[in-house]
Amino acid sequence: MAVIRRDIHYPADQCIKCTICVEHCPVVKVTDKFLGPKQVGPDFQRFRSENDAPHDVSVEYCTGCRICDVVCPSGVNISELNIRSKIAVKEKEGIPIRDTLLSHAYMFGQIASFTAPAANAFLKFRPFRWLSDKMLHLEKSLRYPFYQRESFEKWIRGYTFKSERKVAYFYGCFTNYNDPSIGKAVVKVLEKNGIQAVFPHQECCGLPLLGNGNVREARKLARRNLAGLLSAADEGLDIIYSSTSCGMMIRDDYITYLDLYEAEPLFERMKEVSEYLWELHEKGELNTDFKEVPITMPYHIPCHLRSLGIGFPAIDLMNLIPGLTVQELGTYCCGMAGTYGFKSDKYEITRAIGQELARQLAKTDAMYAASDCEACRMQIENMSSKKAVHPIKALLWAYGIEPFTGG
Amino acid sequence: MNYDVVVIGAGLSGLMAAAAAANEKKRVLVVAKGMGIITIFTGSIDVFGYWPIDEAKPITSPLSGIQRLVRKDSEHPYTKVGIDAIKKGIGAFVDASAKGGIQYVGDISQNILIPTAVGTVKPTCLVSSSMAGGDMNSQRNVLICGFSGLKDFYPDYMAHNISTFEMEGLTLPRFRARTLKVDVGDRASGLNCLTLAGRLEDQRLLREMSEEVYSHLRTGERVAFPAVLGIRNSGDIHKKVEQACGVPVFETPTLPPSVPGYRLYKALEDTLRALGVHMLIGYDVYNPRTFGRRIGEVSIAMGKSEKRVSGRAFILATGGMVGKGITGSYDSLKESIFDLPVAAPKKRTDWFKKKLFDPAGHPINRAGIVVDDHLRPIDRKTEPIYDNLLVCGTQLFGFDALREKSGGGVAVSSGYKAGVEASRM
Repeated sequence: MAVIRRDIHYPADQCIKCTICVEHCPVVKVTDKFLGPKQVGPDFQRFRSENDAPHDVSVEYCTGCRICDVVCPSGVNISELNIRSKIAVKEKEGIPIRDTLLSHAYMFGQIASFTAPAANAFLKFRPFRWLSDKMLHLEKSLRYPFYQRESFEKWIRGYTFKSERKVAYFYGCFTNYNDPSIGKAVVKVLEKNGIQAVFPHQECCGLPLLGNGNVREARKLARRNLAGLLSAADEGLDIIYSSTSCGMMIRDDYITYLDLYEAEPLFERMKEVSEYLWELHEKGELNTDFKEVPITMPYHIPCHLRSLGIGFPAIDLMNLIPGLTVQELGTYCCGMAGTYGFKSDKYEITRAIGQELARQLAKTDAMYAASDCEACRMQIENMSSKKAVHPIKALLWAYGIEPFTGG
Repeated sequence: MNYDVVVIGAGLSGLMAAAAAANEKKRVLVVAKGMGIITIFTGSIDVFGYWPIDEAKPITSPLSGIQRLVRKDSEHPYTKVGIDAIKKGIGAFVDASAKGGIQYVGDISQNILIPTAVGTVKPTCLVSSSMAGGDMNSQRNVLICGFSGLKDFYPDYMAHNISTFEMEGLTLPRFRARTLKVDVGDRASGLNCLTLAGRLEDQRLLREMSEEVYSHLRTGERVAFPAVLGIRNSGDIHKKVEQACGVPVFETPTLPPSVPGYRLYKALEDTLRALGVHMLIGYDVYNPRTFGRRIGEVSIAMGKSEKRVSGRAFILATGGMVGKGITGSYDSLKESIFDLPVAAPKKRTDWFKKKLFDPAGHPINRAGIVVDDHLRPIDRKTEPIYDNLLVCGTQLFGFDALREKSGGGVAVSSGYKAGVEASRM
């Protein structure tokens, strides 16, 4: 999160109307439906009081990328004003069924995982897709991520590696139900460094609920997560996450939006997996016995990684691998924006924002493209023919855990 | 995090400093609290427009003007930078923006005069190829085209004002205005230039627009647009529109969110990325640690996650009062990071003249940090305060960017010089 001066009662008053936030907003460039971060945020804030809080309904088009915060030279909490505005609008108007369904994806994860092959077939079934588009405005042309039969939760029952050195791992819904290979990769890379992963009780981080205006449900999930995470912190463990947005939600948003101040001790402990591994390297403790991985790896920085303020550790890490050339794409937002990209009224915007990513990817004939965020990986595959991977994949190859077969 | 050169600030001077140091194969970090005015400015580089600043007639040759200046004004940043670095800096700027996809044209020995959206004419030196056709030294008449629903540009207003604009020695061509009917979409609160520019990346829409313009053209006219001819692909789009209209076409800078500054920022960002420069945007810089007379490291943080950055040389390019490189209370000014002394009128009542557009300018606009010929900030005894800290850009003492029309030139040349000096440390 950008530096917010909490000693100022009204950070919105710091706004000098420079429009730099508008200039960098990915949505404003592709549609006139969104008034822009300055207007719906600090401009409208001037009219808001406890008794009367006008909101502009176009705030629903805000993707929540938070780039406005990153570029603001004046320390205004722009994205916070916009997200609070979205929540207020939802509280007033109610949350559409579609958004409720999307934000409870974690519940479907459990069912779909259990019934995986059938569930996946159903998700592909054209008449079902057409119907869900017509009735619920769930975009039919979008590829849905599949569910795996064996969730990551199930797989870790068979995980037996033990070590004195431990780290807690918050894996997130997508790794759990849709792509457990990421969780397995993280755990194996840790093992190569003599570190045992432990798994505190965890559920959906709650960001899809927050993003769709359901603060109450988000808070319920958050409290359940905090129980496990805080006891890991009490035991002196660091907590790693491999999904950028989950990390941001827990480390920052639990306090900012859910008022769960008990989460404060987690701030120092929560580390993005590449951040954690890079810190090991800075202490001279990272296993750097790397095989050569001779590829160019286009890398898209997830928007939420920019607002985590931890630099770009995946780039630093991948740069350690002999033969690997990281190609930072210079894209600021892929357009997917989590559940946003699944909504048929937002789909065109998601596609339009994603054009820049498509253009940058088309410039290279690399086979793979990396990003730490699962939504970005989905968008990479929507917008190009590249195979999207988590940066940890490069370490899998470098350690020889998985053979690198070229690309 | 260890670097050779740490540039604090991502405005025009900071980016130029980073490019210069990176071209000397140094490991460079650009760290900035946010984006700078470069992302919303006109996109034209003013090198030297008026001097002395109360002259009514603009300078014809910035180079000659600067040559006169350096003999008379020892405090001006151009005097500290030196003519050699000014020339090289401008060349470096043209190179760096070209590498990022924008071709700038112009020559330091010749100002051009471009019209503005409010119907005045201003001198400038370097413009992108999409604006070059707007030189008012040419007598070719102008058809100003606006768009229905665009809230930030009014062709009739511009045409009306410019037809009564007077400047000594200048004969202006004739202007007339037309609001195009092409459907660019509208909304109740009006389109802004950025959204329109995004829309005009569509080939079909561009063709339709060009056909309508062509149908309105009179013989011998050239066409003025607001700066909305595409966002990233503007060079190509500009060429296509010129071909379709069959006459020179040029963009006019507009109000923020304006597009040319964004294009330039992105181009320079691309160039820096290709040079291997690291960029961290959104980080506060604070708590410098010194070792004797050297800055050793600074802290950077977004929110609560603090990191330390060490460097062999540090370049301060944090801008003036808008960029918050210099902050103030009622009667004093402070440089925000290293607490460098800020030279300014002692009394608050001396900061401003009574009239907003006083030809002599407002003394506060000349306030800033005094440096030596190597751009090191100096104390009262003219000794460098630190051996490895350099200052460039807006916050340099001794020039009035607004009245002189020299902001771009000072940014580019002092940034370049700072980068070169830093790479020698």
